[in-house]
Amino acid sequence: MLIAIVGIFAAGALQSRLPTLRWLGDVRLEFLPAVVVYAALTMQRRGALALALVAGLMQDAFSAAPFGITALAYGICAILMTALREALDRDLPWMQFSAGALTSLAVAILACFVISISVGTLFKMIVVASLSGGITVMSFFVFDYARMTWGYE
Amino acid sequence: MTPRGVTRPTTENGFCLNRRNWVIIGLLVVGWIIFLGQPTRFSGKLRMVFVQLGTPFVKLGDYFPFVQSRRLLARENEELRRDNDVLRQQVRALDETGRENLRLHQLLDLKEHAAFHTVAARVIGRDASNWWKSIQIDRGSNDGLRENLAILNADGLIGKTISVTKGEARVLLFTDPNCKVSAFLQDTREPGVASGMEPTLGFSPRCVMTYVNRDAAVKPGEGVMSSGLGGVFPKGIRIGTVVRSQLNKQTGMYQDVEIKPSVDFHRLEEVIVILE
Repeated sequence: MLIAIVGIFAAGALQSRLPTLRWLGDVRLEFLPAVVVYAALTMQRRGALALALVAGLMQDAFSAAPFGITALAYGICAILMTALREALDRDLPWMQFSAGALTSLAVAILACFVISISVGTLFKMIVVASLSGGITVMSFFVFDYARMTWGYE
Repeated sequence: MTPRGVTRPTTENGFCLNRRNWVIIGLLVVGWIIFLGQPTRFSGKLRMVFVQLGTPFVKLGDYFPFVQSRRLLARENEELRRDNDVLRQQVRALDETGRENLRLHQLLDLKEHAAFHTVAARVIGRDASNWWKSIQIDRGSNDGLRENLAILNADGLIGKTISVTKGEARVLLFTDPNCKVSAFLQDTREPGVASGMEPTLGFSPRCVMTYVNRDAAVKPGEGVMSSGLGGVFPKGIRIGTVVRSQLNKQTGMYQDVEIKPSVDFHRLEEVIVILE
């Protein structure tokens, strides 16, 4: 659990440190949705929920967002995913992609209660969700490989 | 009805979103509304804890090999850059004061511009989210920073501080729609309110100045400066230049002026904080 929390802080720091992709509409790569999805599909509900809340609060602390809004989105996603885990085949890449994209989209939808929606916002939502989905697929590969190599739970 | 204490059976697909899950989701929503959704002392302290725990990870970025050479160069030039930035900003401020002098035929009130008490800061992080625009700087309350201080560099206005801890502060960028600046057009002297715009399909940040007199002859390329009203941003800081203007689509009672910010928000490395 401690390793996971340190990983969340590292992922959040990387997220805030990397430059935005200007050629793709000035979007930022999001790594925390991938961590939330992986935790929700592999850990017990309490642990997954705790990690999702820590990840959300970490992201909010390093953002101008209303504090806790991302934690709320990640928390809800973690609960839904742990509840639906039996129905989800977490080994399928498209399932991982969808889960990552939807988690990222949940944050964007909650953000839209504060910021106003425009065509640009919708475009950005799709791009950010797609990128997060892709990162989630890669993260599953990396985390599963690390799990097999070091055998941690 | 499922008897109390008995788990509702799952469907063929294993779908199980029972009452307990909904209760937890409800508790999360209510908890957020009560404790975190508004700026309270509790949420402020919790945020500070997370910022203090996470900042060392953010600063670790300085030690990665691919940014190290840049870091050394930055350190080497840091002092010169700070001096240069302050001087260039003062030149702009004096230019604005000169215009004021011609128009009013009065003595210069140089004190207002020359008496800025500033501190230079380095940008150590960006906004972790895609939906807000802010940066993190390496100066905090230990250096005299507090909330609602103007941030600028040699090119012009950057934003204002929104949260401050002992060793760092978060700056809401001017390109964020939540950052409003009282401004005026440099040639026509028409006042208005400048702020960021929602994301567009374009790739560079855009800003807009609203509530500009509908009869004003706004010219593309005209400068936009801060007016000093509102108390956060001093008068005479360059904001940007006019790109185009049009009557407000909803009311038609005033003009909306699109502004190109004078600052390149993608290349922020050092900034100046105006303490007083």
